[in-house]
Amino acid sequence: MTVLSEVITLHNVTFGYDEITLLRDVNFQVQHGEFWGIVGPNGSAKSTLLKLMLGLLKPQSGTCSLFGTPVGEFRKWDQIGYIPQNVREFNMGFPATVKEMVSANLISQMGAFKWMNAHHRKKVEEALHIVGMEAYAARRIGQLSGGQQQRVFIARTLVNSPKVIFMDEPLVGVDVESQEKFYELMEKLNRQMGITLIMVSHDIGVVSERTSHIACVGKEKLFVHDANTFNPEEYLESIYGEKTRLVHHAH
Amino acid sequence: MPEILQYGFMQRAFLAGVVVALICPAIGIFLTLRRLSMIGDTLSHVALAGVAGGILLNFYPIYMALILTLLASFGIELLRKEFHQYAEISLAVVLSFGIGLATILISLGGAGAQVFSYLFGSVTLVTSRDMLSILILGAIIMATVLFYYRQLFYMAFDETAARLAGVPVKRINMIFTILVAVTISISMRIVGILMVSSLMVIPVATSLQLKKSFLVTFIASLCFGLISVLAGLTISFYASLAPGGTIVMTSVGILIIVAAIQRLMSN
Ligand SMILES: Nc1ncnc2c1ncn2[C@@H]1O[C@H](COP(=O)(O)OP(=O)(O)OP(=O)(O)O)[C@@H](O)[C@H]1O
Ligand SMILES: [Mg+2]
Repeated sequence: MTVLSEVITLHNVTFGYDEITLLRDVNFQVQHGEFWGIVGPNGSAKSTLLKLMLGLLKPQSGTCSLFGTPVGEFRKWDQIGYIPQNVREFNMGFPATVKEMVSANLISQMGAFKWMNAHHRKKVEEALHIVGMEAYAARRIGQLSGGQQQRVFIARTLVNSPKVIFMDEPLVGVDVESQEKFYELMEKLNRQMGITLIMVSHDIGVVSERTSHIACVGKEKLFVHDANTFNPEEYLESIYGEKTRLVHHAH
Repeated sequence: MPEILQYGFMQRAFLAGVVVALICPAIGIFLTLRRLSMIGDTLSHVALAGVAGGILLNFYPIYMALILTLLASFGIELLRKEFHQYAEISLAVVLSFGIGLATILISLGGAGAQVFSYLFGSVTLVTSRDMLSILILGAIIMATVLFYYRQLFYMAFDETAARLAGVPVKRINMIFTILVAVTISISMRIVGILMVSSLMVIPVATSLQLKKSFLVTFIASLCFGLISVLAGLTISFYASLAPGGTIVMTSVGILIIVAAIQRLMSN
């Protein structure tokens, strides 16, 4: 594999918010076109790991790079999409329509006065079309269901034609039917549009079925697996001890 | 020409009033949506200390208030880093400092009556110099808000996402802080120190009732601000009442009417 196809690189990354080290000497690589699921128990530093990759947190030692550029010097943020864990905890009365929300992300592509031109408007329409929300463009974001809001936030990252999207537990509070649609959408983004995906999730069973690679966070380390050979039961045992069994939901 | 517009002081008051009516909600909408409306209150207490100090030292009170509120707003930012989980604490500390200092300065000198006009607003006392300061600084504030409209909107909704989308969040926060301080310092002449923050919040609260897009909410809040100030100044003239009171009461009246209509329509 060439260096050019490396989307994310963590090199000997050590991090802790205080004296407690959460990640020690972590090395990790994501190649173009991969779909990674990141799993681990609560508080194991999954969200922290994402924030390190995005440069929202700085490692105590080691380096994080995006597309081969150290994240501190990385400037092409329109290539990066990020949907944080608390994204749907916004003020539901916030006066913004779906269209206004999605357009906001085009800001780096607008001129000094941030006027929308026909090209920008078309991008917004396309992004809403991909996630199937074009009929809701004029609705207020607070009037949508959780699953619909989720899709709007995906559309918000899509307006910039990102090369990689980071998602932190995007499926919390989303019903089974919408989850199914969400994974179909992810497949479309990943396979057809070639977008690299990094997704934090607790649903280990589903993640191992849908993703191409899995990273387990825990005990200051990152354990990587190929999704085909990943054994969820074994993994849960290693984390929670022998008694736990994975409950398989019939979707 | 109607009688009310024949007086030079009323012309000045209306001109300055229009500016104040537009900039207060334009700044207030971003403060309110970021749940920072207490900042308006805090800085206006500091402005009072500035006014009292200015009168005492024979220094133009509006500029003195401007200097103090600017210092205070950076003080708030600094304290916020100290108590980062409790942003309100930094506001409470600065507010206490402002009102404490103001009390001492007022009790030092015999400036009571003059301070009074800044507390409750005034129409007859608006000088050409006041009007010119309000016009120039107000135009700068409005132009800055419009220039950064999209960035401010994005930051109000989701600061982290805005940062990742390439918005220079730190710089815009700094600029916005300055805008808040300037808005308060120039608006207090008309609406009064005690009511500046009301004019920043109430027209916004009214336009939020409409439950429309951000653009509509923004424009509507300026309109509600404008109606409140024009009606308030007129009432203040004919009834010889302090304009701060009549402006704020008008804006509360509009809020109640809009909320009631909204209730009726949704039933
Ligand atoms: N801002 C912070 N300051 C200090 N400690 C923090 C901070 N954010 C998280 N932590 C701690 O770091 C650890 C990892 O947090 P993180 O949010 O990365 O966990 P997570 O794996 O995403 O958990 P969850 O599954 O609950 O989302 C936790 O023990 C948490 O208490
Ligand atoms: Mg998390």
